[in-house]
Amino acid sequence: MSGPRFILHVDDDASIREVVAIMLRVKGGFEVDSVESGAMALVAAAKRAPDLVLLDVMMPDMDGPETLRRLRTDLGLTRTPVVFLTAKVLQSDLFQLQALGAAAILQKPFRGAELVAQLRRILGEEEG
Amino acid sequence: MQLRSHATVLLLALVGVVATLASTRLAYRYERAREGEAQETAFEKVASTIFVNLERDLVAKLAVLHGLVSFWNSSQHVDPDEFAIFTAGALQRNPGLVALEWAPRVSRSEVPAFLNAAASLGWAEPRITEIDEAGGVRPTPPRALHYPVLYIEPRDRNLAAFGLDLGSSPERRAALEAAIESGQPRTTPPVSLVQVAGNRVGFLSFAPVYRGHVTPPTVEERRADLLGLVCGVFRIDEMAHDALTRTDPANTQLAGVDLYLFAATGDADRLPVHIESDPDRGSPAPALGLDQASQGLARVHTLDLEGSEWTVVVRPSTTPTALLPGPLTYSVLLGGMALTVAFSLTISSLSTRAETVAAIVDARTSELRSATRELSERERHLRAIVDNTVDGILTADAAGLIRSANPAAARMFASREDDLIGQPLVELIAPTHRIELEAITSGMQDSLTTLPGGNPRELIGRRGDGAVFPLEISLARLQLDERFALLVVVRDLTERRAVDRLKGEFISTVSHELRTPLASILGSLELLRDGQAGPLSVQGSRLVDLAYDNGERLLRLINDILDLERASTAGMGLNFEDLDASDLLMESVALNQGLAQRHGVVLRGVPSPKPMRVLGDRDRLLQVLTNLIGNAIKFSDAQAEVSLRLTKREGQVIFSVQDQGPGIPESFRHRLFDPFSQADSGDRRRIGGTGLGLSISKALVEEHGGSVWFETAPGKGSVFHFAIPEAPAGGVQEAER
Repeated sequence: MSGPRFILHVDDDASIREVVAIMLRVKGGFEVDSVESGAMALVAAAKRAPDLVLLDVMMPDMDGPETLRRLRTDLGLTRTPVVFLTAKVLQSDLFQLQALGAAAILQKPFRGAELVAQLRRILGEEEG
Repeated sequence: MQLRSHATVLLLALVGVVATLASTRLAYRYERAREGEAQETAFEKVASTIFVNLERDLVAKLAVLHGLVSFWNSSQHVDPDEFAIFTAGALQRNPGLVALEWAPRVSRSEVPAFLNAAASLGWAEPRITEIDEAGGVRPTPPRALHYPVLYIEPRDRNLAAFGLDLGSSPERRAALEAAIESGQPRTTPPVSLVQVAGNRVGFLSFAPVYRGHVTPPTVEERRADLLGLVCGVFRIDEMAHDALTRTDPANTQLAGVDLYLFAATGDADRLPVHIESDPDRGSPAPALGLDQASQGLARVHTLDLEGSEWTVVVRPSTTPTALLPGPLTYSVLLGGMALTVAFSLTISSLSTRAETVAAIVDARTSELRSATRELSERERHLRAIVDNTVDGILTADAAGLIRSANPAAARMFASREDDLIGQPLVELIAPTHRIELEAITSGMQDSLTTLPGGNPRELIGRRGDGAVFPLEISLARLQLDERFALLVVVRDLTERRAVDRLKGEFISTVSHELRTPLASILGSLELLRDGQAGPLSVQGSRLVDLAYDNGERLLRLINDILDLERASTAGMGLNFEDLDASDLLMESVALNQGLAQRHGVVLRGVPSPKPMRVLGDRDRLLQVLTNLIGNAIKFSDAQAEVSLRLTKREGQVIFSVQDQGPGIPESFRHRLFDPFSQADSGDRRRIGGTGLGLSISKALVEEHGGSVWFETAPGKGSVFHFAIPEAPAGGVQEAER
């Protein structure tokens, strides 16, 4: 694989987008595109297929699970790992997200180092 | 019916008496010339008959007073109408009974309240009075205690006695005090009666009524617990008249009898308090002193009237003719007299007994009526509670059929009370949960003991329209007439569940909404600290650390609140596994080694040499251990030791965390497990906890079916223990089955 991995980050919260983008770029050396909605994520992914999608769950209009479904069905990105980054904590909510076929579910707040490590692991596994 | 038979007996007896009298009189007339001496003996008999009659009459009248006391004791409070109804019969049957009264004990401070009570009874001019020199009444000066008449019957004839302080005259006071102290009825010596126009002579009898239903054991308590006095006012002239006129033989066989009544004590020549003249004599009997009155054929008798004594003298109203004794006259007279006396005694006894019985029956009827009233009042009261409670209350019989249902039960099951009755109890439960109910109820039928309220169970109910809903059911075994019956209390949990859900959703939403900005704050601070925005000065770096630590503290608080909420409502959704207790213990030690080192504390775990297995949620048990270890470390000084141990007792594995800290202050121990409780605000700053850790730990342990407790001594540290059930031999599957 040549060049840095491309991560598409989707979150309706601008400050989270900014913090995550810096962490992923500076700590992980990733290439990051941050968008604020599921619809924009579909547009961005259609333009350039990401190596991994980091997806917020609760968003207006199109939520995380719906975005995941559309990425899989509309764009045919069936093998692209999708990681949920959510402030949800209830066990039942987390099980539901897992059932959608997410590669991982990470919780907010997060530590930069742990976030980067998790994404690397997933991308590494995908490579393998 | 009883009255008629009583009248018949009386009539027969009277016929008998009259017949006897007639023959005796004839015999006497025939024999009189020869056997005049018989007169003396005959008079003796007559006199004793009069005495007996008088005594019996008095006893019967005093029985009325006893009845009134029983009535009072059976209800403690008697209103004026009840008093009037109770006394009406007794007053009518006993002409010598002038009045029956109720006089409460009124202390000086209670006088205004008494006057108000009197005014509310319709007295024109409420006041407390005493008897004046002229035999009238006047307002009484204030005293420490008054016994003023509040109720009196018959009312209209006794208006003057309303408010009369029964303790105001010395004779009355002495008898009244004696009654209060002895707990028994006590009678005054002869007194002039306020109640009767013309200053007639009579006596009063007082009977004390105490709080509660029994006479207190000591004099002091009797004085203190006195509610008041029941008082009967008796007219002696009526009784004397009755005694004379009922003793007909005397009047027929002798020319007539006069009756003199004296106080029991005084000068030998004291004057009588009352003279009852022979009704047949032309002029009133002469006013003789006791000495004079007792001479000749006169007979003297002492009447003992519950505390006071009277001297009664009867004497012939005319001077007897020459005494000419003779055996035949004597025997004729004696036989006739004996027969007459026997009849007279029979009649007197029958009539006295009838009156006594009537008074007792009256008292009992009244007691019964008031008991019945009280019972129906209580029944109405209970009925109102059962009808208006929000919980459904039902009873079922041994066959499991509903026998009664309150309106709340009918509403809950969308049915009518009548429709529920006769239905099987299980029909009220959704088919999926019926086996559970049947298991409980059959267990209760088999058990010989009466179960108390029992633990409420949560089941799913089924309404008349088929809708199902969550309910809580409590069952208790009732023993009704030796038959098995089930008391069922049901509570609709629909609303509680909705509220729980709303609360859960609210907390989860708040937690979510707080986490999002906190993620940005902590993320930004992390980047700053890592120098991503350029190098920081020493002070800048310290401030960023401060902000980061507090951000993390806020996060812990949010997590704890969420945990507590989940633990206190629908449960935590634990994932039970069969776990090795030593592994768990050592893992918690490893996890907290970093914290211990930062505090310079030695953290040590002692695994059990024997395998100990528990059934629990690994993460949650680690959370509990971490919390207890964290507390122990935070309250330990550097170099101190925190140690963890395992023990086993009665099917439970006990985890113990021991520290060498300052111990838990006495004042704080009882609320140690309450949310947000820390020993003082200084502690919170020092240890940096949220104050929720122990309450979450307690909830978690309880969710495991266990318990948590501690031992502590000031300066000697604390040990926190929690016990959870051992894993059954067959593992998780066995336990869940």
